[in-house]
Amino acid sequence: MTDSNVSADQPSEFVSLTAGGQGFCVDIHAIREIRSWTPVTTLPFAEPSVLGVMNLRGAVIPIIDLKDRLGLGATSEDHRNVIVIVNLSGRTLGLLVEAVSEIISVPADGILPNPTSATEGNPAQIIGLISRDNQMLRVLDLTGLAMAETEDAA
Amino acid sequence: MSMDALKATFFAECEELVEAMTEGLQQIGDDDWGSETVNAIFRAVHSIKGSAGAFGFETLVAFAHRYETVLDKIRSNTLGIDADVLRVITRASDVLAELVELAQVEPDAKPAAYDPVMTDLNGYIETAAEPEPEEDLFAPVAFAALPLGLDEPEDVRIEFAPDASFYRNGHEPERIFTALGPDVSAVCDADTVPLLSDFNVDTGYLVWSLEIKGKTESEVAEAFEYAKGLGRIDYLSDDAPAPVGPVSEIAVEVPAPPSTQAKPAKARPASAQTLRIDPERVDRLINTVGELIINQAVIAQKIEGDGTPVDPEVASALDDYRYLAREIQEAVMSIRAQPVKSLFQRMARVVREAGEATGKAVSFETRGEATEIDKTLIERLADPLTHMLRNAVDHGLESPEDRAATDKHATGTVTLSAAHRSGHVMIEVSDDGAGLDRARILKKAIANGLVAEDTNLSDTEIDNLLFAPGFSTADQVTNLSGRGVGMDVVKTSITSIGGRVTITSEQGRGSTFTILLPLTLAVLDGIVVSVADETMVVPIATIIETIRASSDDVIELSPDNWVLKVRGAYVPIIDLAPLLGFRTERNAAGPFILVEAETGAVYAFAVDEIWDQRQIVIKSLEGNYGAIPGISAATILGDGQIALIVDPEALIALAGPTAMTSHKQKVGA
Repeated sequence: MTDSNVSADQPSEFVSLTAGGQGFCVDIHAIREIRSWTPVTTLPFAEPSVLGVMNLRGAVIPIIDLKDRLGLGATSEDHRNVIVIVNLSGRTLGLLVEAVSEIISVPADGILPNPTSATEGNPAQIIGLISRDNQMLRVLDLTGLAMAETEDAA
Repeated sequence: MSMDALKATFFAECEELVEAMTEGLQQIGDDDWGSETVNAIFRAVHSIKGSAGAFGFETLVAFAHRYETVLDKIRSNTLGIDADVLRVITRASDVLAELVELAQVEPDAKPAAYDPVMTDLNGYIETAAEPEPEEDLFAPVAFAALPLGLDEPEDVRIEFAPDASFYRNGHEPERIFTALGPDVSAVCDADTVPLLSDFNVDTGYLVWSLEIKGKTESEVAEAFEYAKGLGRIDYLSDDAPAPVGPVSEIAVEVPAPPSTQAKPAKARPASAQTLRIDPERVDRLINTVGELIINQAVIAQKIEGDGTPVDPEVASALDDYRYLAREIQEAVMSIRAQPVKSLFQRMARVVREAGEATGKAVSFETRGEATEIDKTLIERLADPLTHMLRNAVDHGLESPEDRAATDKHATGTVTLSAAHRSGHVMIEVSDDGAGLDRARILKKAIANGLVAEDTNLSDTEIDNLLFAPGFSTADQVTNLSGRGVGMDVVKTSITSIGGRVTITSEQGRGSTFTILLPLTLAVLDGIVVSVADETMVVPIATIIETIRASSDDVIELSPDNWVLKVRGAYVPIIDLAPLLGFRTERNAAGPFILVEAETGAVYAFAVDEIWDQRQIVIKSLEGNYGAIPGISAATILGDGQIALIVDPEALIALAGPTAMTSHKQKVGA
């Protein structure tokens, strides 16, 4: 489901989104759907970025505040916030973001490696950078996000 | 079908065959049997052998063959059934069942009892003074094609006389015969071919007698599909269908094949017809039906929720919907339900082995074998029950000498029973042994550092020490029950399927371990409550009662230690909202839910509001998230919101030492 499946010469498709006022993008294959915000059920003993769980057609899925998870503080309440439902190696979770903008197609060589890898705060979560229309999009490593999730829960 | 899928079918079939075999043996043991009983056992063993051969399970085949030979002697009355024979064939079926189990992991492993039982079986074969059994009589069948589906393969004998149109259409008999598989013998009768002078090129003269092994008639008919109407096909088996195609004018006398291979009577084993379904499909169905129930509740709430009068027709249609949804749910659940009989039969083997290993004479009694519970539960009960039964024989029952000294019958009795009790399944393992030696248990617990030396414990608390992790230690390891697994593992595995274990024991009269299980893993009865702003569910199984107490009954012993006065007894209060981190201030007003912990201690859970009791569909949190302390799972309420299901035991543990030090309270009802 990740872009590693796609051969190098084919462009990868990403969905760009905004969290904490900054631009991110996520491999389109991982995204299942995008929903508007609905109240969640709080989970005890969860870390602050885990907002709770919501009902997605009968499945219980955790909702994570992406901004908070990336260490940028909690997302403020806004009716325009959306939840991006992602599928990661058999698990489904929702990411609370401020906005989802568009689908972008990027050739393999258009993704630059994250130069700060392993030195900054959350190195594993940003695996690349895409420069686009004078804006820089950070490519999110969802698996890394989900791994952190598992560790919290355990 | 892949090889793995075929193997899975084989093992599923073996399970049924082993069941049929065990059932037959039981009838013999109960002295309620006839030749059909022995036939049934024989058939079961024979079928296992046949299919096992197809997979090359040689150890299994070799053993089944020996066993079958002995059974054949019984069947043909050359060997009578006495106590010894019964013992040997019972043990042989145990070994066979074990071999089948082993074959799933380690095809050529032999269980410990393999060699002695094999020797015993050989003993009967030799004492009956006959040479090596007629191997070839059964061997071909042993490698028959794997039985698939509901049609039991048979040996099919047919006579095939194609007429000229068959050849004219370009068909070749050999093609058809090859398509029937490797186990076909074809004999061509060329006697009807006339002399060349009388030969008519437009006539088909040849007649084949075919014997096809391990195929059903329908499979054979399929192979002959193209020959339909192009000749004569006669089925020579007893219950042959009408010949296919017109009877040609060349009627030929064909000698009937020798009838020495007549199969045992056609009657199938008495066990109920079953349909094999991949459990995942059923699970998917159960899940979807769960959604349907929730969806029904959502609709009901949307229609009735806003307080406006509801159109009576809508209301009645809604009622029908609710009724139908429940009906479907029950029906689907019952697909998963299975009688505990097969499990109990397996346990009989465990007890027999345990009796042999310890040198104790044990009579094993079962009750309520027809009790139905969820298949998953049955599977997950096997290990804990095995352990408990071994314990009952090894530690529960006294040695024969000790029993004699106490005027007990030399044969100890271990009873395994199952029953439905108010929405639960109760499974009991009891022995008529000496009962728990509480002084020794306490001493051991103190020695292992589980309790302080000066602790004053009630009998129940002492009994429950058996379940404490670290209680079962190396010095009590016998090669039977002490396999490094303690009763704590038993308890953990029972708890993990939503059950509880309790012990009752009477000095000199024996002990009883009671397992209380939910009927299924998918639904649960619970009380819906509010904790802070959250809606939560408390499983009803542990709840004694709900109480609205006056403020006089809530007493503060220390800032962290509050008790509730219930009919003269003091019960520690566990305030859920602060405990779960939803709120900091205390809720001293209740209402309260009294729950009984496994230790027998009673606690009062303080909540903000108690709504109602209902059946809820359990949704796992662990699939997408992970385990949460104090929470066992989640459910979806009528309004589509998720409510967490609390785990009372875990909450009590979470509440920490303050609550844990409380002593057992007697709360008069």
